Amino acid sequence: MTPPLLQVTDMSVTYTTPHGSVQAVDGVSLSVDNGEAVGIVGESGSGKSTVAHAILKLLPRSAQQDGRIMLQGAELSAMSDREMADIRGDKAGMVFQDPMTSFDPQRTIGYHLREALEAHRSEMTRAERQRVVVEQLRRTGLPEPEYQSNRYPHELSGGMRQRSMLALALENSPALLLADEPTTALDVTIQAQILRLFTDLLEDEGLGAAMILISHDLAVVRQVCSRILVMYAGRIVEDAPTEELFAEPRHPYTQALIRATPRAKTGGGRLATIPGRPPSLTGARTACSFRDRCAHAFDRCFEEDPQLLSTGGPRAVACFLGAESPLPPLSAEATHEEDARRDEGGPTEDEPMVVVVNDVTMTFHTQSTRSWTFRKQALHALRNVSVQVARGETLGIVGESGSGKSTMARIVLGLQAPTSGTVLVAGENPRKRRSKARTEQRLQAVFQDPHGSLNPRMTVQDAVAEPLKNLGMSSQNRDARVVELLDEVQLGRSYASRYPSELSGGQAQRVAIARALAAEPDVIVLDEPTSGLDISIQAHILNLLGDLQARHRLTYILISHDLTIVQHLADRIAVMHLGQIVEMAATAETFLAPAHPYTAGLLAAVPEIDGPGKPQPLVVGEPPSPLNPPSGCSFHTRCPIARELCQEVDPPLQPYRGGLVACHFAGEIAASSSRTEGRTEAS
Amino acid sequence: MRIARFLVRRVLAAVPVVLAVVTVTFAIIHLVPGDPVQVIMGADADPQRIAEAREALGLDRPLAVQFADYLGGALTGDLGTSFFTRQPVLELVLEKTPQTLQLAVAGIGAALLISTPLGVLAAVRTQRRGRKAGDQTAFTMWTSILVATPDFLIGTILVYLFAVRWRWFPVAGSEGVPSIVLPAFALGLSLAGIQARVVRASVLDSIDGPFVRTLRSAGIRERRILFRHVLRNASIPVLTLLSVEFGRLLAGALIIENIFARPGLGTLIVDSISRRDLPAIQGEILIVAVIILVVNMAMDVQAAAIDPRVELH
Amino acid sequence: MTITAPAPPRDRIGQLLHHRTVLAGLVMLTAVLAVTIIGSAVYPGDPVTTHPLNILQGPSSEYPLGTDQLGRDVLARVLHAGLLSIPLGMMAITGGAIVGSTIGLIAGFLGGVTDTIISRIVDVLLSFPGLLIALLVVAILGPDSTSAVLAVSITATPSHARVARSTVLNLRSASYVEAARVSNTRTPAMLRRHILPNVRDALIPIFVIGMGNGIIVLAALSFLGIGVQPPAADWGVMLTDGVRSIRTTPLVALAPAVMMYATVLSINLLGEGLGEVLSRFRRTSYLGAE
Repeated sequence: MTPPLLQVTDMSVTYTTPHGSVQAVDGVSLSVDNGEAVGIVGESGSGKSTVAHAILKLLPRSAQQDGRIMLQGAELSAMSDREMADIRGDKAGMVFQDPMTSFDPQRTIGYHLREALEAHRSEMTRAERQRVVVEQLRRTGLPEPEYQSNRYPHELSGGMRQRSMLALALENSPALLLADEPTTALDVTIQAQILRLFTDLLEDEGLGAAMILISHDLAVVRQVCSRILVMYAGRIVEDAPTEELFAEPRHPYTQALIRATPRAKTGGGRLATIPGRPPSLTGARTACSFRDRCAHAFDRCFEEDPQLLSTGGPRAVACFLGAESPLPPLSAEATHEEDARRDEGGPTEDEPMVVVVNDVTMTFHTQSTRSWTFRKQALHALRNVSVQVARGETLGIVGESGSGKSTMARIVLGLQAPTSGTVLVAGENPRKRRSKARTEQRLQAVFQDPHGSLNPRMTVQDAVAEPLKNLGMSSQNRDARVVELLDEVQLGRSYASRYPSELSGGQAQRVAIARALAAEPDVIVLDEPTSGLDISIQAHILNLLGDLQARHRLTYILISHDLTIVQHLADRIAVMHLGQIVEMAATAETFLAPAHPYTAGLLAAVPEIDGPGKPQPLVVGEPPSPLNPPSGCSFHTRCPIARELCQEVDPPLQPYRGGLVACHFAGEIAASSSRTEGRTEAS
Repeated sequence: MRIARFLVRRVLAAVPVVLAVVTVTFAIIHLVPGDPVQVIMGADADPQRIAEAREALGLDRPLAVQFADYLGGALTGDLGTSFFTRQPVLELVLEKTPQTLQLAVAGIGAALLISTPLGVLAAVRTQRRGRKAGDQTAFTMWTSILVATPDFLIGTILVYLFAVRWRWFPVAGSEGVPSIVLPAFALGLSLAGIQARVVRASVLDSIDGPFVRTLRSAGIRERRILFRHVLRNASIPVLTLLSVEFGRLLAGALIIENIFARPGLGTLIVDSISRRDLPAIQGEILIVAVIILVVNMAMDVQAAAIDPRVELH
Repeated sequence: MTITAPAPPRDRIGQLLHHRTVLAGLVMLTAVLAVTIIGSAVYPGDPVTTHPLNILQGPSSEYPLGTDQLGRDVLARVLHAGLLSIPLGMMAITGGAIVGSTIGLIAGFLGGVTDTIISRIVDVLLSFPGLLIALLVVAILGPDSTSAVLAVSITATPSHARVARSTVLNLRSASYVEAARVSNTRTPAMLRRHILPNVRDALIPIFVIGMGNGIIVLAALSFLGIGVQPPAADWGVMLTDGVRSIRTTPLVALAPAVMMYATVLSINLLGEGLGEVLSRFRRTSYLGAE
């Protein structure tokens, strides 16, 4: 039996913060064999990222690290900085989450790669180094590598930067690649490209590297890794080969997490949630850290701390129940409320459209660095967009960065006046102060950053009461109503006196929702309401939103880049690309048979948690810039079925099978994607 | 190319500013109550002679004409003639400018000499100690001691200590290098305090920044990271600070010159004001303004040259 | 991981006072003010009367800090000069701060052409040293304490305007301000609830440190002979006298220098500390995890 490539024994990491010491990693042991792809999954605070950093000893000085790390037989834990510098980049490489800040902004990409080459192979000449650098960049799929290597990091797109970082990590042919949330900051279509790149490179015989992929996204990890480690509160709680983990999770947390992840292609409905919150990481453990949130907890769980034990074979789990036998299934979530919503919700024929957007165009003017005078460049955020939303309906607006969806939100809310076109909410222009949308607050919003949307100086009470104050409600009535609202969003009334800095992201977002509900609006615009929240918290929020809609007959405009969550709440979906709506149809149809190639590409790019089908990078290349949209169809530069016509003529939005599509060859892509579906189902 | 574009835009933007300064100084100077001619000739001079002198100096023409004349002259480099010394103003001012600039540069040098090691060491120390929260507060407190020293104050104290008590440096005058040491430090100490804070903050930002992590993960050695990457990045805020503080520095130089009896723009301006030498005052203020604008622009270009991200507008 | 969040704005005064720098500054300032005010009331020496026979004497039991070139009691002069320097400096800054903040608020709020014009002017003013502007103003109005105070006010205006404006601009795109707009918060309420508290907190440190600056610039003008005019004396005037006799009786210069330094240092410490504490109140992020 060959020794493992990497062996970590009993790793612990403690941070000293101004508020006390925090045990981020507690006694973690793991091993990785040559050529293996291991995934580490967990939510925020699980310690997964810390483990990756600790392996290469990249933690800041305020962290205290213990335990042994053996890489290819060398003992890393005892090494000095000098010796570690030899190992890093040569025996093991790392790729980080945010490519924007991961490069020195003052040096070109080529400089970074040459520097890393020189650090380990000093005998090459500069010309030789440059050649190797270009070759590495080409291998990671960077277009025009010679040209790009002379550019600065900020001049490249996110996807290109990530490819460059990958090239940097791999150029000295390391035996191990560590990737910490490498695709989290990227659009989903780019993510698909990068994930495909990972798998290709690893299968490349020349490399044969092993990989540790860290992610909060189970679906991503499923596509790439052959073995998965699940972390919770600084410990590994389950270790199993990928397929076995999904077929039969042995730790309740794994089980719950799989259930809580929204899917793209199955029907909507309530998501399973995990009650409670992760435990504090200060102080010693005396019992199972998951006990308060576990659906199967029993007495022993409250008295003893389970260790990670093998269950025979390649699996291990840290649970008294799971170690012995498979877990009982999680009880089915009450679905009658959800069914009721499905029945009652949705538009009725004689209800007037409550939101009407007609031919809206929004052009911003920004100072260009390219001009000699002060001339500005035009940024086409929205181009001739029209959409109507009926009362009680949920319209999902989906798009990647640059699609204009956030601008749409602001225009509908009346925060921004469109360059041309009209917006009507409840029959009036929301920008007018006197409109009912404003004075009666028929229109409300929930924004993306929960803490940013709350004034740090105001208590929860003040924040939620603000819309009511604006309506002139008396202080007594206000107080009563605030209590009512806090109950509705499942926050106790004790929260009323708290400040935003005392709330977690999920709690803050619930406060924002309470505020939005305060004046009993008709329409709520939700702009990326769950972005940045953990999966389990996201599930809570989505369920809450669904319940509230059923209870109060709300109309939602839900904006997100995440197809899976839009799918759970939306009756209809509008897909946006570069300021235009390219497809609009009922949710089910859109997902089962997308008519527009971009929609198909988005769907194909989403890693599926329920099956091992790999994400297909149908959408190729880099997204164009809204400053310079392509001629003709704005998608043609990346479209798998583009033809000459697409380059010349911009397809109008036309009816197609009950929905609207803007494509000269609508429906063609559906034919081929259903073929891929078939294949996925079969396996 | 990028820099050339930047320069052109900045110069274009600077033109209205210079015009504004010229206009304002002109307006202000000519709104001065009291008659400069009378001041020069004495309060009890013959009114006839005063009127003649006024005519000769062109002060009896309508303001607008005087202004147009001045403006035209300024464009061709003729800033009028000093009432007092009868020299062309431009010549008069340019004579004294180098001294003042010398002092300003020496002041910046002294400040950097003190602030850079102070800031870097403080940053490294904080990083080693694991970034204790109180460090920044403590450093701010200690540097306040430097920051709170106004130039003329410290000038006075320095003069006392080093020139009188211990006789290490000359008290006044402008002969040779030793004579510039005290004034330079007097000028630079206060700036050094603020600079040290900025140096410390920006080094700290860079040292544990995300890109440093990438560099470390690629196996680049610490020393190389510090010198080839961190310090370069950290120098940008320092340059920005200099650009912002240059005006204050120049003003300080003017005062320091008065304390240490160094000839330069400072002493010139004070003299001109007390002599009510209108053209001289106008010219001096204008030149100072232009110097400040040019230096600001140069600093901006420098920052842009170093940092490719700078938006350049 | 859950870490306890920092104390929210509840106990603001308490938090303000707990900060080391704020405390140090406050203590020092109180000491200086006490010495100046009580000292000048209690100390029997006369700052004005000249004693031509006793010029430039060193410290003695009769004159604890010696006498200046006109035989006046240095200690008495330094104390009474403080009574001029400190209030004048503070008054000057207050005027400038009020005008400046208002201008900045207007520029930030109205935006558009008004904003462009105002911020251009402010930027230009800012790049010029305060002293130069002060010199100009004094040149017009003639050297005199009133014009010096006015001059110093004008120099304080741009920095306050700039901070007020940038705070307003940052706030306009803050999510919670947009949420308030969506909730139909009208302008007066918006100002009251969201904008002004932030502007106030941003301006307080600038204002306090500005006071220190004001004292300095005023003294500088007096030092150059174009501020407070003798026989009235502030610290700047005393310094002028003192520099001349620095070889023989350094105390004449050192006394006002030390007093001024102590005052400005304490004000600076106070201002810096306030700045740090107040920016903590604006922090929005939660320190724990989900």
